[in-house]
Amino acid sequence: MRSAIKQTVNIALLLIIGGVIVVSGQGDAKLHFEHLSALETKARDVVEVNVDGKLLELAKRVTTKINDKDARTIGQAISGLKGIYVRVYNFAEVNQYDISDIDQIRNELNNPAWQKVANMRSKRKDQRVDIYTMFTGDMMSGAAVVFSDTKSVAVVNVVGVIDIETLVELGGRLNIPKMEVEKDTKVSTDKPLN
Amino acid sequence: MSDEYLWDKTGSDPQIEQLESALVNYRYQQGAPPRLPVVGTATAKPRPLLFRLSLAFAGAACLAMIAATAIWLSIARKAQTPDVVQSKYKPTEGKSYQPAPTQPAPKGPSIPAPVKFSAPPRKLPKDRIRDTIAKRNVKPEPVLLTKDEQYAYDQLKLALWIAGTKAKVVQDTIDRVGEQRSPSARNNK
Repeated sequence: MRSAIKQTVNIALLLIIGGVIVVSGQGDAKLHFEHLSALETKARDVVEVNVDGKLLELAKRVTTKINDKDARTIGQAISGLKGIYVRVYNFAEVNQYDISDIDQIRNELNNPAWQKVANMRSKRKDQRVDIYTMFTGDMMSGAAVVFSDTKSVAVVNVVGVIDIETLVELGGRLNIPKMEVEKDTKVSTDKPLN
Repeated sequence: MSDEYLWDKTGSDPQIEQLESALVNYRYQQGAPPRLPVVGTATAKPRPLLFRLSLAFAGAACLAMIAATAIWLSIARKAQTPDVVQSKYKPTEGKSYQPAPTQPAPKGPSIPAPVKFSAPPRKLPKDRIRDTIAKRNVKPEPVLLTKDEQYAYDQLKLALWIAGTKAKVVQDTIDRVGEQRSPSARNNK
């Protein structure tokens, strides 16, 4: 009888530990955006988008409701998504920000858990784009895109599975949705972001 | 041979007289007509009671069916016919409905107004074709989203659009560099 109880307790402990590992594994793919706080003070426009949890479930439900090609593509692309976080900082003048402001994020992505899959440097506007992915076993558990040029910085963090090719396809096809922006706030999406 | 004896029996004609005597048995004799031989008799039997009853029932059923069809047609026509007489009362805002005072009936014999039957206008074949085409071309109704759903979808689209455009920069650069490195590809282009 006692051995049976012990076994049950052990199994329960293992399950709890496993759950904690899984949860912490999911959390690893999420970047610490607080490192970008220095940019917020300098930027003219800041775009902050966080889609996860209930909001993501709602958006997923909408993709099943709407019967058009974009919605179907989005629905397929986000089927394994757990969250997507975007920060865009647009500056009024060239080189208004310090590149070291985003180094903390780059350092975070230099972790062995992340793999750099694309690295682009261009002299035109001093563009730098880095794409990273994170894998847990054979499954993709996250992706990150860090973009910077002379007048803007953008960081995209995807938690969960997403097809980057579909993402690129959507980037060229989707129209930027109209957003209601309250006056006297930092967020502004009425201008081109890149 | 004398013609007179043959026609009015005047004179004598021994040859005809001989023939008459030979055929005397077949001479016409006035009297009752001979009875014809009876071959078969068809006696009219009275119909059984059950047959007569069923015939009566079938007749009654036919009459009832005709009456029911007539009633149904009249009801259907009434339902399709728009009211010819319209109320003169037009409600105005802020006033409750007050029925018009009833007028005393005019004296004298009342003549019932003639009943007007107005059948619904029949559609021409071209109108039917147009209706069919219009039904086929009906666009699906737009999906109604709640405010929260619209917000969530817009946020997601915005996030995907930003992520996609940034990733596309890399893709475009890779494509451009690839084309520059392979002159054959450039020549093909």
